[in-house]
Amino acid sequence: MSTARLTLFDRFGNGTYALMILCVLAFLYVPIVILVIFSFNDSSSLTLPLSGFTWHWYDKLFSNRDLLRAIGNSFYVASFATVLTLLVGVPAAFALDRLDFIGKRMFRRLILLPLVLPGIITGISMLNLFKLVGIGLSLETVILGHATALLAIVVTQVFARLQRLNRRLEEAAADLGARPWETLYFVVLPNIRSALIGSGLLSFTLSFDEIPVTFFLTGRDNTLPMYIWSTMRRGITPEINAVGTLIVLASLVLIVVSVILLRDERER
Amino acid sequence: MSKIVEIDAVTKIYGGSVLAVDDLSLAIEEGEFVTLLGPSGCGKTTLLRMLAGFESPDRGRIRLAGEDVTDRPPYRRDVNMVFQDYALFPHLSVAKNVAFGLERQRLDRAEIARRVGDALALVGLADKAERRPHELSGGQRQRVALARAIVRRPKVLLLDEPLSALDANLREAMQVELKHLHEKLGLTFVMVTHDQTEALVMSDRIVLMKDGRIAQVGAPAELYNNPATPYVASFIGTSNLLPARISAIADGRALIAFSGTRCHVPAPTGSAAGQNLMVGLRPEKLRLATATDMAGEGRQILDVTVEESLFHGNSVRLRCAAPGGDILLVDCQLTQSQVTIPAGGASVRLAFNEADLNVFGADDRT
Amino acid sequence: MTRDRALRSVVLATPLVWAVAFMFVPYLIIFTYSFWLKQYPTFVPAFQFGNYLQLLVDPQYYQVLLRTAKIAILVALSALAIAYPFAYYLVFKVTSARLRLTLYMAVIAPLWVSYLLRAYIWKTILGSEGVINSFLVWIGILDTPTDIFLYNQFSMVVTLTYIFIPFMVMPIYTALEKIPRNLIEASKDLGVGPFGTLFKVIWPLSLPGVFAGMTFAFCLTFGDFVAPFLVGGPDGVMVANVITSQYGAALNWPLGSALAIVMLIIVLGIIELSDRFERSGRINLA
Repeated sequence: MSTARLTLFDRFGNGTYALMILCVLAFLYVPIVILVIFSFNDSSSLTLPLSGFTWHWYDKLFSNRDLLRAIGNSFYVASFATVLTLLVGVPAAFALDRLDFIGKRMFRRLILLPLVLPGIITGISMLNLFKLVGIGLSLETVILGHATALLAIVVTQVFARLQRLNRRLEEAAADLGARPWETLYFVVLPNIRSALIGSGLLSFTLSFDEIPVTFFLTGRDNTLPMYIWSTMRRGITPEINAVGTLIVLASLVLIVVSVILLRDERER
Repeated sequence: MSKIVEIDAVTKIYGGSVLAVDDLSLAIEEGEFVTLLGPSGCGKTTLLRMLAGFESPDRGRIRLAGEDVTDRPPYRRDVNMVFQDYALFPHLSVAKNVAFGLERQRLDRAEIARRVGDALALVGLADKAERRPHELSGGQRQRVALARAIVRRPKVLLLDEPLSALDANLREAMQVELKHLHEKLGLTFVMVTHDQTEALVMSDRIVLMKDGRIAQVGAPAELYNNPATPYVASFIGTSNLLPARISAIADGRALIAFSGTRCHVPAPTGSAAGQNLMVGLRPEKLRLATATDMAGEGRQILDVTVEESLFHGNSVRLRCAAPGGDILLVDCQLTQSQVTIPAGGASVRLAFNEADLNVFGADDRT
Repeated sequence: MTRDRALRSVVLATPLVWAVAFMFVPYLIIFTYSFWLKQYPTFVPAFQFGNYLQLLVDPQYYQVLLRTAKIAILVALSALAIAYPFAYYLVFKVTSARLRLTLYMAVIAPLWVSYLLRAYIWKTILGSEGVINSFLVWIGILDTPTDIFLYNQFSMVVTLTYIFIPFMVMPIYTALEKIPRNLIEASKDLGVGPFGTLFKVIWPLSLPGVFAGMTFAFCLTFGDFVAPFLVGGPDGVMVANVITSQYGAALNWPLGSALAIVMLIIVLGIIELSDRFERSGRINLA
């Protein structure tokens, strides 16, 4: 009885759904394609019709010393912020998963806050702290700010992985003569590897791209997004499209790298 | 033989109030295969985990080969465990899993390779050394877990429900295999299970537990044939538990009445005439009697009505009602077909030997 | 044992000290400042509610708060309208696991592309000198470029929706995936049609994911710093712009702090609310 109606619905549904999927993907990707196309367009304005192919914007970009310095600064900040946030975040995830202590609830809330807290609040609150203590603003204060803002990402991912980790594995390790640190090194860390790599890569990307915290905490040095930001506010130029295209490319590489690094894990 | 494990008045309390193990003492001989048997929550797993060092007792001491290990962490105890879910390291190959414990002992590589090879050969997995655990079947994982635990030649091998994750056929095969392995290695095995068949088949001794205490310890046949309490009788195998009353006592023997019959049995200690007690009778110890069978020479006859007859393949189980209303289960083997199996509603005569009765004291009713 | 304990205390102390020094104390400082008094050219310690009062009575400020909330709600709703059908299709209609994963990755991947760039792109698309305008002029629909696309609330909603779609898809996808298929089969078996099954079985069971996604989109929009500067214009001024100007040109840190505290309270309130909703609406499937 209802089979005919169901098939009809399914067929009708499938067609519209496919169209809907295409629209969503177009909405997500057409803008990025536009960004890339205009980085090769031989015109200083971003208007249609296209006027011709050029490498000019890339040439210009690679001779721009300020920009290159900003890229260097961004690598410096993102690398150290990632390392720092892992060094603090992984123990925090362990503490939340394994230990019982007074104020644990409060601690969890506090440490997970930046996940939903606007970056601007982390930015101005830490600015206040540094001003009060008398620490001058620099790339190092930016690193501290990023590490704080990104902590929640590492903590949630590592914590989730720890929760799924079979506790019997650690017991088995101890049973086989492994001391606590050996269990940590030989059993726990290899099994939370995907969370470490994943949250590390994500932290790096987000730090590399971060604006609000950087805006308040940086001194005279600019990171790449801050440089783009200040250029953008003066007006849009295809040079930004060229930088953007390179960033998209780098993101793609990063995604592929993380997929490859984590594939091994998924197969289990 | 010497005592390899001595558990001395051990108590474990969870969350301040739940008594998991209650003042329990037990000694295990070297080379024995001991099974801790009981329903879930009886404390058997907690006891095993205290032997491994994952839990520490609140009171009492545990000695291993004469040494007090009560306060030692797991990694300083010469015992190894086969976990219920195997707990194989998913990121390591089979060989690396087995080698893990040896590497912690800082043995040299050649020695490790040799012993890993031997252990894998012993469990029949020599060709799977480079596989990852997720590529193996349940039975193979089980063997890896076993190899990993025995490769360190522990003083005691602990097995936490080792066969529970396997399907029925494989489980039976592994029971035999584990038993052979035990004989071959000469190690002391302490196994936890809730499966009485497993316990009966494999163990030298069964420790039947209830509510954190030992209900009875003994060889499988002893527990089956001479259960100390109705609990033991009903946990191991099936038993007809019937209320009885002592009519008279003379010369250490009691005349008891139950289910419309009277029997002479050894008097339980401290019993007196007029006292109520329980008797147990295994279904297979009852048989269908012919009209000419008579009571006497220790044999008793019961007249019952068959309520239901259930076909079990090689046997038939009869549910019978005795005159007093007591229900009796009777197992009839179908190998000798000289007796026709009665249908529901039939009146039959059952015969049993007085010697097959288990008489329980009044104080252990449950 | 002692080394064990040392390890334990390091594990606990490092993040604890960090959280106190770089989170608790700074928040406390903002909180304190929010009661201080502006006294040109700096500000002085005080305990008064003047800053908060100003936020409540000065239209310049409470209108910004209202506008920010409005945009955040619009963004959350439009992202939901796009993400839900997408996630639904992925979980229930795509039969190939490989295609499902590919589509899922495709919708999540933009998260890895610079946030700033994604906002910037829309500036170049929507601007009066931008892609859409020049396209419309080129094909002859418009004579002269229009400025209706950029620097208003529309451009804000489009840009932020674009940015937060992945955030919305992730929790909804997870929630839908958790729904046991036999529940849906049972519903169909009981004669409930596809729409009935969607509204009476699937939607209620996916609510935790919906709440999580909405909370994310709302909170992130509410505190967004980049979009209002790039595509907002005077009509799209949001709380973040005002805080920035109080900390910058206006040099009124106490007022900026008070505004930050208000933002903090609103965001935390929303999270608490969504937590409650989720807990009360959660149906135990175990």
